[in-house]
Amino acid sequence: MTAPIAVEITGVEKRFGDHAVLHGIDLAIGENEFVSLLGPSGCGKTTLLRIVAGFEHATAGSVRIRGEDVTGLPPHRRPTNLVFQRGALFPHMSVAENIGYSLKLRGWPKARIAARVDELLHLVKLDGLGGRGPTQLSGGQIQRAALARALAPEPSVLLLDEPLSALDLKLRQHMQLELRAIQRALGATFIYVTHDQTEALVMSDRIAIMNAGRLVQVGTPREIYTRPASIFASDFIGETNLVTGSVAGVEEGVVTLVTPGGLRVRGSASVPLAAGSTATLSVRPEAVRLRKGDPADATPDEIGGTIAEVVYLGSRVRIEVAAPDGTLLWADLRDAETTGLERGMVVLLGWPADAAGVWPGSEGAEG
Amino acid sequence: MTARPSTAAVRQIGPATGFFLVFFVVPLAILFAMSFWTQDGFERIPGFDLANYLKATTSRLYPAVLLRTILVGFVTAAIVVPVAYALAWLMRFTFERRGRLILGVVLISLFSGYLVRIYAWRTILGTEGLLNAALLQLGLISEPITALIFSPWAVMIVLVGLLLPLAVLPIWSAMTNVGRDHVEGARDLGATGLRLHRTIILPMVLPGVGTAFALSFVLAAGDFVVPTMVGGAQGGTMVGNLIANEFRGSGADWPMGAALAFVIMGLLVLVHLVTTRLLRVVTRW
Repeated sequence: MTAPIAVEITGVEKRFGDHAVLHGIDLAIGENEFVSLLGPSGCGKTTLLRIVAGFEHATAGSVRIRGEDVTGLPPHRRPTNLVFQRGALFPHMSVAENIGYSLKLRGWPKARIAARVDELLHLVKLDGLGGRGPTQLSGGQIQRAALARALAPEPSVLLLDEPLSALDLKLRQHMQLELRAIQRALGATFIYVTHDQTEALVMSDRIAIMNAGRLVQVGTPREIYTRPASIFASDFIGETNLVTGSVAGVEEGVVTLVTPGGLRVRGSASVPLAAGSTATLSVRPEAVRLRKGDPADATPDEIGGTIAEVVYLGSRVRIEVAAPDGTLLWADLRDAETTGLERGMVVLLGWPADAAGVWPGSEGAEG
Repeated sequence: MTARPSTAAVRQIGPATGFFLVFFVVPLAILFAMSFWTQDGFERIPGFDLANYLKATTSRLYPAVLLRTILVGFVTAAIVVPVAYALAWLMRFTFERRGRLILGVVLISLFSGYLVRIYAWRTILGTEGLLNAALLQLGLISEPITALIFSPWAVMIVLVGLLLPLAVLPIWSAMTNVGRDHVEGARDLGATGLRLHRTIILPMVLPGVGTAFALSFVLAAGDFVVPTMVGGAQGGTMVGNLIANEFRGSGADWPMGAALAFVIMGLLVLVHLVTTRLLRVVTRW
C-alpha cells in the first residue's frame, strides 16, 4: 500500500463479559480505498465496524483515523459516518431534511444547506425527490437517501453496515456498481460490512475475511479468490470442492492426499505438511477438467468417476462426479464442452496441481 | 377510492359506534341541553337561559376554582409527562429487556386500585406519615411538616403518583417505533443530549406524548376524590367537587352542574389544543 493510511486498527479486542468477540485485529486501510469486512454472521465484522464508528468501545487496542487516535471518542466527535442496514431515515423529516440534518446541526446557513442537499440528491440519483417523506420511497431509494445523509458532512471514512442486504438481487447488483462508482467519484474511503462474498468481490479494492473474531485473510479480490490463505477462505469466497485426507507424500511442493476411501488427489501445499497428517484440498469447479475415458487410462493426475448429476446453469454446466470412494466433485464446463455427457457415464477428472491448494486440518475446521 | 362502506366494515365498527352513540353522545347531548335550564328549589325548569354560564364565568367562587383546576391539571400533566417520557426512554433504551419488567411493575400499580393508592399516599405524606417520621428520625426537622398533606401541593404530588403509570403507556408504546439505529444515526450525525431529544426522539413519539398529556391533564383536572382526601381546606376544592355537589345532596342544581361541566370541558380542550400546537412548534426542525 502506497497511499496514506486513512484508518489504522491496532490490536483491537472486544469482550462482552467472558465472551470474546474480537481477538487482536490489526488492519490498515488506505485513503480512497474500498475495503469490505466479509464473514459469516457472528464473526465480529459488525462489531469491528461499530468500534471504528464509536458505538462500541474496544476492550483493548486502538483506532486511528488519519493519524488521530479516536479510540476514546464518541461517534459525533469522529470523522466517520455510518450507513445503517435499513437506512434509519428519520420518519418525521423529508428526504432533504434528513440529508441536511447534520449540516443544520453544524449551523450551516439555509441556502448553503439547500445547495449541498441538491448536490447530494444528484449524486445518489434522487433528483427532485427531496420533498418526499421516507415512507414514500422504495427500498433502494431509502438506501440512496441514507447514503447521501451519511456523506453530507464529508466524513473522512464512510462506514456501511450491510446497506444492500434488504434489497432484492437485481437491485442489489445494480446498487453495488453504483456505490462503487460513487466511491470512485468522491475519492472517499469506504469500509463495507457484508456477508455476501459476491458483493465483496464486485465492489472492493481489498477484502478482509473474518471468522470467529479473527482476520483470516486480507487481500484484493483476485488474491483471495486465486490464492486463498485457508480452507475457510477458499470455501467462503466462491465455490470450491473440498477433499479431506491424510498426507501421503510431498514432492517439490506437490502434495498427495489419500482419502479414507483410498482416493488419491494432488495439489500444491501452501504450508509445510507432515506425512500422515490430516489435510484438506480445495479446487475450484472451473479448474477441474473432464474427459470421457476408462479409469484404466487415467494418468497419475486423474481420477476416475461416474457422472452423478448434470446441472444446466445457463452460462455453464455443472457436472457432479462421484469418485469410487463416494467423494463428490464438481466440474464447471462450458455448454459446448458437455455434449454427450450424461448421468451414469464413466469419466476421468483432473486438474493441474497448482490449481488446487492444500491446508492442514479438516474441512470445517477454523481457518 | 370513495366507495360505500362494505357491510363487513359496518359490522365491525357498528357495535362500537352504536355503544358510543347511546352511552356517550346521547347523555352528553341531554346534559348540554340541561345546562341551559334553570333550577327553582327542587324543580328543574326546561328552557334556554345563559344564566348558568354567566354565573360560572363571573361569580366570585366559580372562576377561581376553574382557574385552580386548570392550573393543578396543567402543572400535574407538566410534571407527569416529562417523568413518563424519561421512564419510557429508560425502559426502551437503557434497560432493554428488563424494560418489560418495569412495564409489568407499572401495570401492577394500576391494578392496586385508585382509592388504595390514595390512602397509600396519605400514609406517606400524613403528619404522622412515613416521610415525616423518617425526617424526624433523621433529626432533619423538629416537628412534622403539616404542609405535606392537605395542600394543593399534596393534591399534585398524589395526582402525579396516580397518573404516572397511565402516562407511561402511550409514550412507551410510541417509543417502540423508535429504532436503536435512529438514535445512533442521529448521534453519528452530531446530535447529542437535548438536541437529540428535541429534534429526533420527541417528534417521533409526539403522538404518544400528546395522548399522555391529554390523559393526565384531563384526569388530573377532572379528579375530585384526591382533593377531598388530601387537599384539605385550602387545596380541597376543584371544579370536580363543585360539579359533584351540584348533582347530589341538598341544594343540588343539575343545570348549574351541567353548565360547569361544559365550561371545564371547553377549557380543557382549549388548553390541550394550545399545548399540542406549542409542542409541535418546539420540536419543529
